[in-house]
Amino acid sequence: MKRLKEFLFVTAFTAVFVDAPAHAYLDSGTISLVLQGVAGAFASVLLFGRSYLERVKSFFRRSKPAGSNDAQP
Amino acid sequence: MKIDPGSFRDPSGRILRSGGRIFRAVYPHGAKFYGAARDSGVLAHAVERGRLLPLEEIEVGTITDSGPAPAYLLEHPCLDFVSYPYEWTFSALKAAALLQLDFHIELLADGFSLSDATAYNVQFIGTRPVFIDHLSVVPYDPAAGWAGQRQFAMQYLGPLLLWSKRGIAPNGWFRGSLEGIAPEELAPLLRWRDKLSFNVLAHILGPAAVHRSQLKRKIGEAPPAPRQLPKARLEAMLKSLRSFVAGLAYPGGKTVWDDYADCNSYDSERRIAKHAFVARHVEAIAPRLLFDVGCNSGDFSQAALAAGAKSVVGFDFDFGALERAFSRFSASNARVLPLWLDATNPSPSQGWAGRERLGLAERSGADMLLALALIHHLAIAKNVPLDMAVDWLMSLAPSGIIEFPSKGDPMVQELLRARPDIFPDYSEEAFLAHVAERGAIVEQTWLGEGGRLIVAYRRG
Repeated sequence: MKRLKEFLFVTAFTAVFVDAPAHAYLDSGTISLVLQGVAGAFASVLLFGRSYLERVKSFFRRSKPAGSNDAQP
Repeated sequence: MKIDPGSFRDPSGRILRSGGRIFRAVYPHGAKFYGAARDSGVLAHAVERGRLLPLEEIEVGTITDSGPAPAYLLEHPCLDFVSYPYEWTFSALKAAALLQLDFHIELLADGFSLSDATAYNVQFIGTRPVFIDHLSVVPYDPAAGWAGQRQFAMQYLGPLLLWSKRGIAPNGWFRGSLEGIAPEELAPLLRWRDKLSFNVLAHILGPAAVHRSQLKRKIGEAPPAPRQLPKARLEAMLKSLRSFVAGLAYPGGKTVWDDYADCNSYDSERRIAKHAFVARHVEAIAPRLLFDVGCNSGDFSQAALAAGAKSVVGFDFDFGALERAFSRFSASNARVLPLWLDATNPSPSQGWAGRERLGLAERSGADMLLALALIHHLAIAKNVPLDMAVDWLMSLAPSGIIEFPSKGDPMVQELLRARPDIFPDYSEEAFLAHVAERGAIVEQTWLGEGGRLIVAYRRG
């Protein structure tokens, strides 16, 4: 799942780089900021996705009957 | 009063040394940001959490230097030893990288940021990293984004990737290129599968592509439109990077000395005798700082601590052994810092004017030396004449212990097996004479019957 997300990101990010020559008038600081903005946006999505997944997981963990893991013959 | 030669790049302030004390002059240029950080409580909070080296404001004018009149004068506790990232183990570099990111993430929550990301702003107390540049803490400015991104990539992420993904220790490269490994230099060395990662793309491949495109840029083109990086995006980026760095692992593989503890030529009786000898002399000297040169995984660093040494810096050239030492002293939270050293080529004084990063000899300050099972590697494996080997070892500390395995020793035999014996002067008599020429032999003994000669010296 993580690999898939990263692959999608790589594809999207590569698309940004194909455009890179069009931004050649930007100085390195500005381009870095643009890239940081894009990377930050993706990281936010990944982070949100992860925390959402954690919430779903913890919901199911909570809804398990207490002591269900301790069941021993 | 001496100005620290490594503290000149930031006009906000400077480190000053006087009478064994460490001060920081905060100049008017940095006064506003320092004042804001202090008043907000972020500095005190970071000190409490052990992230930041403690500071105390003292009266301006206590000491003076040639710079502008300082707005504030701070005093910091003295570190046991100043080390540089090219001397660190994988785990040390990773711990420093995580500290840099954790500290930055915590600061962002309070509206502050770090103005750079240089690994030289981190030092170690034992195996615990601590941030030492208080003037890097500045209010967050969306127009600045993450100003330290390239530095982080060059000094932390790049070297860690090279180590973890390609199994290449970056220390030699890092030492030759003090600013680290540039993304555009690292990118061609990574495999496709290493590149298939958001963080590698965002912090190595992306910036490397920008760098390449910049080389094609024409001078005098229209100024760029101002850009901003929202704080939440930087936070998310740093958190993602933190999780990526935390997942990087030291590459496996057997090391030269992996099984040394089990396969060395020592039986337990001789080992006990060696421990007792070390403990007795460390106890007598009670060193503030002890150098354990050839420390392996740190058995005798541990013995020295137990015998009363306040802190130890262990040196070895085997990264696997150093990793084990780092993990051992990290688990016990002991004041031992394992560092990488090629004894035949110690860190030199280098950087700006050859003084920015000091050589090992100039940073030493050790009160005591342990050089156990080391000298035959210098004298026989590396052809260093015995008198020069003794000279260098005794120059490291005013007192210490040197072990001398003679030619009959199985470990020396092993070294001599693949080469002719061109070392007629390598003998116990010659060794004792060289030590006696340079100081007093406090005690000499043989570790068990037919065992190695071990000597405690005090320099003359």
